[in-house]
Amino acid sequence: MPQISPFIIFFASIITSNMILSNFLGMCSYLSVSSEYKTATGLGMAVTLVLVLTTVINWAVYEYVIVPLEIEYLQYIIFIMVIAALVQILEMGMDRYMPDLHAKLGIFLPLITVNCAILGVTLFMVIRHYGFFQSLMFSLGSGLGWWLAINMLAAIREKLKNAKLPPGISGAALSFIITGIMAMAFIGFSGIFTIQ
Amino acid sequence: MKENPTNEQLRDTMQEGELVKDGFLGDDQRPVDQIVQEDMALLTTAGFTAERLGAAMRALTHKGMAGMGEEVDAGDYLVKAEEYMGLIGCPFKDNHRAAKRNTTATHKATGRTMMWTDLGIHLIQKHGFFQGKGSTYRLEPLELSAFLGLEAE
Amino acid sequence: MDFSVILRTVGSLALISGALSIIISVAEKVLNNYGTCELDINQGQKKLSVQGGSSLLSTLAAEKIFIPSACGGKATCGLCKVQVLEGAGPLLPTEEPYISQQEREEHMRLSCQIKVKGNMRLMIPEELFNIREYICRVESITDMTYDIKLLRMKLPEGETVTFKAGQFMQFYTKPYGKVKEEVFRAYSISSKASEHDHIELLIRLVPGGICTTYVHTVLQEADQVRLSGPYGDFYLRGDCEELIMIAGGSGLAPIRSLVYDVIEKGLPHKMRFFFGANTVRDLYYMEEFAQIERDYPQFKFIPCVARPEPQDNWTGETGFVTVALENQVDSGDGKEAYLCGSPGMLDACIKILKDKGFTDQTIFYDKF
Repeated sequence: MPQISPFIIFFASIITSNMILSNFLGMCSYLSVSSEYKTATGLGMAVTLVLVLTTVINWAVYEYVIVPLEIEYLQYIIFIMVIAALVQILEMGMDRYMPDLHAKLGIFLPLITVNCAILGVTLFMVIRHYGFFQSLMFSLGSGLGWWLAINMLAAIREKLKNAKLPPGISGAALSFIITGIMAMAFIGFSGIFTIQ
Repeated sequence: MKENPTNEQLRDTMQEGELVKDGFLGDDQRPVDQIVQEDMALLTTAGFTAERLGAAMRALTHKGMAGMGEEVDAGDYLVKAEEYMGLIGCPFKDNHRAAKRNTTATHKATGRTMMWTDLGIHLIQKHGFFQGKGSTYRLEPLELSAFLGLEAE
Repeated sequence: MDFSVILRTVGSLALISGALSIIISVAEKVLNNYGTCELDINQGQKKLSVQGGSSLLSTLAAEKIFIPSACGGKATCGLCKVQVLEGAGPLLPTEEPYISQQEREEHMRLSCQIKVKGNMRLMIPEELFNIREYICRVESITDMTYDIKLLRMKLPEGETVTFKAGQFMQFYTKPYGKVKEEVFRAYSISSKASEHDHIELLIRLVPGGICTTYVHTVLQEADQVRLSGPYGDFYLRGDCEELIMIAGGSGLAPIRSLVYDVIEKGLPHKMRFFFGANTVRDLYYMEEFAQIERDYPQFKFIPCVARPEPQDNWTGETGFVTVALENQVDSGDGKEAYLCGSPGMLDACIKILKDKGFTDQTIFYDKF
């Protein structure tokens, strides 16, 4: 377990190691759901929630099932199965006990299962040998960082709706350009904390 | 690329046989918000807003309504507005119910004819949705602005 | 390859996927199973025990309580509002556009969007308890004009329908062509209220209409048709001396039912029926109404043709129905107005009526 404070991991995963802007993980839902600010917020919340739950549970599965049984080579399959099962149960539970939250985020949950940022965070946690509290802070920070990035893109895209653009550039092309510029801006933060 | 779930729901409502027999999408496979985005981009770059287009269409329809199904002389245009009983809901589920009215307008000078429904006006004015390519009621944004004789801003 | 490795791999994968499947199944049983829910309707007037998990609209329909709806649960018509005092959960985003602030305070909800998850307390208007479902057989389909068909349907043996003249039925189509699901639309009843084992509907073909296309191109005689009803606030009040009735196109349907109702009940009201048509081809039931005029002097039939051709030799009123209305009706005193037609016609006629002294309390029309 590396000797980094969980709080440094938390802030680093938002700013200097942002899942989208530094690691480019979770791009497809990021690009397709960022056309409207409200839905972007919904997806960001859902991703954060799923990230924290799956990473913590995957940490437990790794520590207490995978390592003792020495089946590290199966970790990808097992993590994906856990993520899929967890999202299913989460959706059912939310529908039952938190219906207004389900109404806001429910439609995004199936989309999140295949979001590579979810598996990515779990795998980073494994590679860097994070402990429990570090994993918790890492996943929370990554989720919030992802949420921040999608909200920023949605806000910029909403503002650009009324702009005069060269033909053909609106849509995916513009989103990539904006994301690239945001990523370059975030490089400016590098050096404050380093976790990767 | 993944599709936004709200888009999927919209696409379902706009299919043939859901709200209207022929649907709103024709054979267009693009996600609904992309259709809106690309049409709106064309409009904005040319200097128009969907709001203005919708208002001009509604004004023509209003003139046509005085004819109660018969063609009316409305200045530069001949307008006919045929209507049927009942109301139809909006596929964007915003509690708008439109009359079942078909407006056919002919520009006297060019002889060009364009047709739209009341729901079509609402879709353009409030949602910037000109309908998918291949749909019977699709109106090309720039052809429409030219037809309505609007000046770019 | 080491046998123990293979065993470990297969074994652990099987175990883990097995464990996860069991967890999901258990979760589903516990979380998705809403069990039996108690629905308390109208402060205990009716109590139902239902299986939870479906929408309130379909749950009530399964209990033979039919809430009006025109879009089949897709949240586009906004007609299925029900007052839910308890147990509906928070307002859903799909409901928001359809429930006004006033309605929110009254706890009105869109019954097609809320799921029955627990006990609920509802208030349902009395008249909705009269609504029933009927599986009828098509007895005849008659062309009345080039775009209007008369559907005469027979109720099953032994079943009867009781409705107020002017009300409408919901007509359910079956999937056909590209239409994958059942669709339902409202049509006013044109048959006499005294006839309890038949229903007649007048259906005008709407371009691009799902239901009207079904009736005009797919439906055959002897086919089975599902109807539910009767619905509607459009029926005779009669607190007056004369009834002014105005209709266009298939709007004639409820007016025909109303006219026969007044005559059969021997009511004293005078009746004047202004029927607006664009061309002579759009007229129908001419002989029938002329006969009623001959037999019952209290009834006057005033058909108006907007654009008669010279070869039609049209001798009746010409111009729009609004012209005849303007000229022949002097004031609203002692009169009630019943209108049925397209929105534009309704608006134009209502404006004229209000100018003549009719009020919101003496003008009746269906707005669906």
